[in-house]
Amino acid sequence: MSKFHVNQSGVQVLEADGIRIVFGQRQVLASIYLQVQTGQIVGLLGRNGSGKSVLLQTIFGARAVADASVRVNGRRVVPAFREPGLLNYLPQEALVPPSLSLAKAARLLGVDVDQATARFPELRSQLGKRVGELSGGSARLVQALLLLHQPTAFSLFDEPFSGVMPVHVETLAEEMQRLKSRKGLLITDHRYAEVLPLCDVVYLLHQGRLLKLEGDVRGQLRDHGYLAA
Amino acid sequence: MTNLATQLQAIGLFYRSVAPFMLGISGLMLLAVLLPALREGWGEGLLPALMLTKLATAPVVWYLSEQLRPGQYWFYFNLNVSRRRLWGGVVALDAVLFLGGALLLRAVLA
Repeated sequence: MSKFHVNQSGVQVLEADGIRIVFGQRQVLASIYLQVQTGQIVGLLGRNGSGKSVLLQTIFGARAVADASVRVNGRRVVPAFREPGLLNYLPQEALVPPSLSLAKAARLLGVDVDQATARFPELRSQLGKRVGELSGGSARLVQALLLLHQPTAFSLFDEPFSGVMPVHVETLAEEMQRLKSRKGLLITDHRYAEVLPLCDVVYLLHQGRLLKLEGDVRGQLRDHGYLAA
Repeated sequence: MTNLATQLQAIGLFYRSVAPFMLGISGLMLLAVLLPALREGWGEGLLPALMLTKLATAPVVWYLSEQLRPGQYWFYFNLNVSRRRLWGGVVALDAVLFLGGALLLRAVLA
């Protein structure tokens, strides 16, 4: 489990701010502040190219950004991925090297693969396979499950439902709901119909600024051009 | 200890992904340069220069690897291993293998 000092309520708080990113003449992210707590699923929505992936990668620590501050319970952790037990990140692209078997990948990540795939019996027969031998959807599902079950305090998921078939999307969403009791999840995915019911907090990345949506979330998404009017 | 073992395994796994480049260069240097030099009797003092040359090829492999597989690090980052540690480990492991190969070659021809 996470070695991070927890506050009196047992909740761990991940905060990121001061993130400003400019590509050429275009300011992608401007003075972002974001907070995720253990026990929460936080949704991050935004149009294509709005900087969602860049933001997740910056929080994870894979992208060095001057002045970016990532803190856990008030303690600065940059780059965050170097801290064992703190957080993991599912990128949009392939995570696990294609030559690695699922069982070996799970072992390295410290995941009980039987537990991780307990609700997906059809995956059990594929555990000895290399990731490169799986279909795109199965590989995506397995990688999301591995990181979901990895013992970290937070998980950052970039399009976890992408390519996953509907019946598995539902079960994966249930797994996320179940496991949020022991970690905080930050999810970005265009499948808003699946994402919104999961989320305790929703942020919209709009024109470089991060807006926290409260109340009529769908209405605000329409107002900002994320959903059709 | 577990974390160290995981990091060593991660470096070994990452080395496998760049081994075709690195072992190819090692094999070429050992067989095309060191072997003929040893056979002709002037290869004894060549090893340090070959080792330096070998180390100098690491940035080339790094550059090619970055260009061809920019997304190769995500798994390792999730194991808490940074780029610097991965490449440091890979270069050290490759140098040891190169040195071992050179010493073996020298012993066989002695």
